Formats: sequence, C-alpha cells, structure tokens
Amino acid sequence: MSLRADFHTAFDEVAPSTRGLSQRVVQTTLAEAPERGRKQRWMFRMRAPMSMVAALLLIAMAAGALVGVSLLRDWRHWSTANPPQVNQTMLKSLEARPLQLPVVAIDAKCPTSALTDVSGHGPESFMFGTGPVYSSPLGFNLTTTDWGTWGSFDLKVDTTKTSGLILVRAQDLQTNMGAVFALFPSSAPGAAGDGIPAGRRVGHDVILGVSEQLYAEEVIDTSRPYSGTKKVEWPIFKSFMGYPKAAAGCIGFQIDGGNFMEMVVVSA
Amino acid sequence: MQFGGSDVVRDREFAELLGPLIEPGFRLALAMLRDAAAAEDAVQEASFTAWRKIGRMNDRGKLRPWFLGVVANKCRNARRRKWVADVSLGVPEHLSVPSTEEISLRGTDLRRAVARLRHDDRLVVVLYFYLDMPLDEVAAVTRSSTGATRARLYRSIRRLRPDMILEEALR
Repeated sequence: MSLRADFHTAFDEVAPSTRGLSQRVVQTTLAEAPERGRKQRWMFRMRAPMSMVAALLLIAMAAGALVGVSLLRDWRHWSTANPPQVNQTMLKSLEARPLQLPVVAIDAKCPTSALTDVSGHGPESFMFGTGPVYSSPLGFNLTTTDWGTWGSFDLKVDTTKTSGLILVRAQDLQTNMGAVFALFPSSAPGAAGDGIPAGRRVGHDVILGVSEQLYAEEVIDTSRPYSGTKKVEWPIFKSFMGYPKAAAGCIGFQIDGGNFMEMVVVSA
Repeated sequence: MQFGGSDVVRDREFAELLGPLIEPGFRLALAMLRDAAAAEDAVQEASFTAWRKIGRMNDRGKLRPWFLGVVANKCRNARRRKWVADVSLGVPEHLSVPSTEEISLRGTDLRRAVARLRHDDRLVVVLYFYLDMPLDEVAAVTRSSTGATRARLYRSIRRLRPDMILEEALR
C-alpha cells in the first residue's frame, strides 16, 4: 500500500459526509458577507486608533514596570542602608555563648530532633524541637547556586516562655561546615515576620539573580512585628538559609535566648 | 476576473466559482485541524475572505491554489486559538464525527504522525497525498518555489515514515 493510499484511508475513514456542505457554505457566505463586510470596514477604520491605544497601553505598562523596579530597588537600597536596630548589648552577650553543637560522623544517621505537637498554637501541627523555639522542616532546594543550596524554614517561638532577642546559629553537623543566612531575595531587611541576618559577614552569593550578603547568624526579635499568625498564636519567623554544596544537609541549630539555650537538628 | 453587474448575477458567479472548491477546502481543513466543526468554520471563514477578494483575481486558473492557501491560513489561525487546541487534543483520532467503520491502527498512526508535523510540513503532505495535487500547485498554495516545496515534502515523508524508500512513498 502506497503512502498516498494510506493517506486516503486514514483521513477518509474519519471524514464526515460533505453532502450539502458546498451549498451551505456558499449560501451562508452570500447571506452574511455583505453585513460582515460593513463590520469589517468599520473595524478597519477603527484598527489604527485601536492599535495606537494598544501601543500607548504597552508603553505605559513598560514605563510602570521600570518605575516599579526602580522604586523596589530604591526601597531595598534604603532598607539595606537602614537595617532594623537590635539591642547590640544583648546580641553580644548571646554571641559570647560558645557553640555547643555536636559533631556527627559522616556515615551516621542524622540525629533529627523530636517533633512536638504545636497545633494548639497556630496552623502547624508538628515542629522540631522541645521549645521554646520550634523549627519547621527545611523547605530546601528552593534554588541552588555555585556555592550551595538555599531554602527557607520557619521558627515558631513560644512567647509565653521567652521574649526579646533570640540568636540562631547553624552548621552542618556531619561536615562541620557553617550554614549561613541571607535576606529573602527581593525582600528588604526587617520585613514583618522575617528573621534578621546578623553577625559576621561571610561573603556574597547570587541567589535567584540577586547578589546577597551572607551572614553567619540570624536574629529573631519577638518585639518586632510579624505576620501570618493571629494574636493568640505563637509568632512565626521566616528564615532564609543556605549551606555549602559539600555539606551533608544534617543541620543543627543552636538557639540562644535571654533565658534559654536550645539545640534543634533537622535534616534537609 | 470580473463579476457581473447585478447582485443576482454576482452571487451566481461566486457560487459557480467557489462551490467546487468547498469540498477540497474542507478535506484540507479536516486533515490540518482534525476536527470537523473547526474545519467547517475554517472553510466558512475562507469563503467570506474569498467573497471579499475574489473580484480582484485576474487568473481563474489560480483560484483553487489561492482558495486553498486561504483555507490553510485560516487553519493556522484556528490552531493558534486555545479552544481549537483543546478540542483537537482531546479527540485526536475519532474526531467529532461518528464513523461506522472501525478505525484502523495504521490510519490512526498516520493521522497522529501527520498531526505532529509543523503546520507548513503538514500542509504540503496533505495537499500532495490527500488532495492529490501536483507539486507545482502545492507550491502555489504554499507560496514557495517548486524546489523548496519538493524539499519540504521529502523531509516530511522522512519524518512520517523514516523507513520508507522515497520513490515508493511518492507513488
């Protein structure tokens, strides 16, 4: 069977009858074409002004986008130049506490912290740790860069047991490599509900197209505004953290507050 | 091509000229769009275009390739519209047409392979193999040279039937 015959078989077997089609199409054309012709002539006359309106709209949108980006950059620049103030005396005293995170053998199982039921204090059901600060699982692999892997996680604070400044330091327990903190890309320092990257500056990384300063620590200030939880619920602070490519992803947090020290281990 | 003076004469001449082209136009649209309703819409739209422009045509012999070119263009526009894409993707093999015959696997495979071709390639193979048009007339529809059309046809045949010998395919 030739390809031509195959074509005829393949398409003829699904083609409907065309009886009356020709007359129907022609009659419809003759009946409706004059009216359509008038409409199309009107449309043709309107086409140029409408095109001009569309072009102007496009220009306005482009200009709006440029202005928006510029405003965002200015706002971020302004915010970066004016980071939220934290009590430096308190911060220094917390930073002075030695890191007590354990070392875990590379071939050992990551000693992930126990989960606690926190469902009575917000939308989350279980979070890692025994309090007063609890960690969500690491929402990692948001993006990877030449340096490492970036993602976000939440810290929930039991404000009935602690308040004020809380210092968070983290490292990969199996490689002893430090995890670092940064602003959420395109977010300004001090955005409601965000942790504040702090401490030693340890370099830059380009994250989602934005060059970000990396910090060795993060600070949570429960006196600052936060969003996403109701007043009666424990507040949640969002953190943006990265760890180097060579790290194993067994991340230990040492969390120091005025009246407590806590260690939480999570696995990426 | 000049139409007569009165509306009645003009309408009769239009029907005589375009009538014989509706059925091949529909077959072309059906093979291109794989949807009978969309194919009829495309032919109807092409017919409206023909009504507006047919008076400007000087060579009656070029009417068929010109009209099929208009149909092909309507098909291209129709496929760009989402609703046609949705319809076509949903019912690719049985179309919206009831058929009493069992659809052969070979036919299904060929329709599927044709559907995967790009618009211009699909147009050439449908015109050549399904509408049985000679290569120079296919070239007139696609508004390209005969050589370029031949090259496109050969390329499309290889995509459709990689194992088929070209001479055998062209029979």
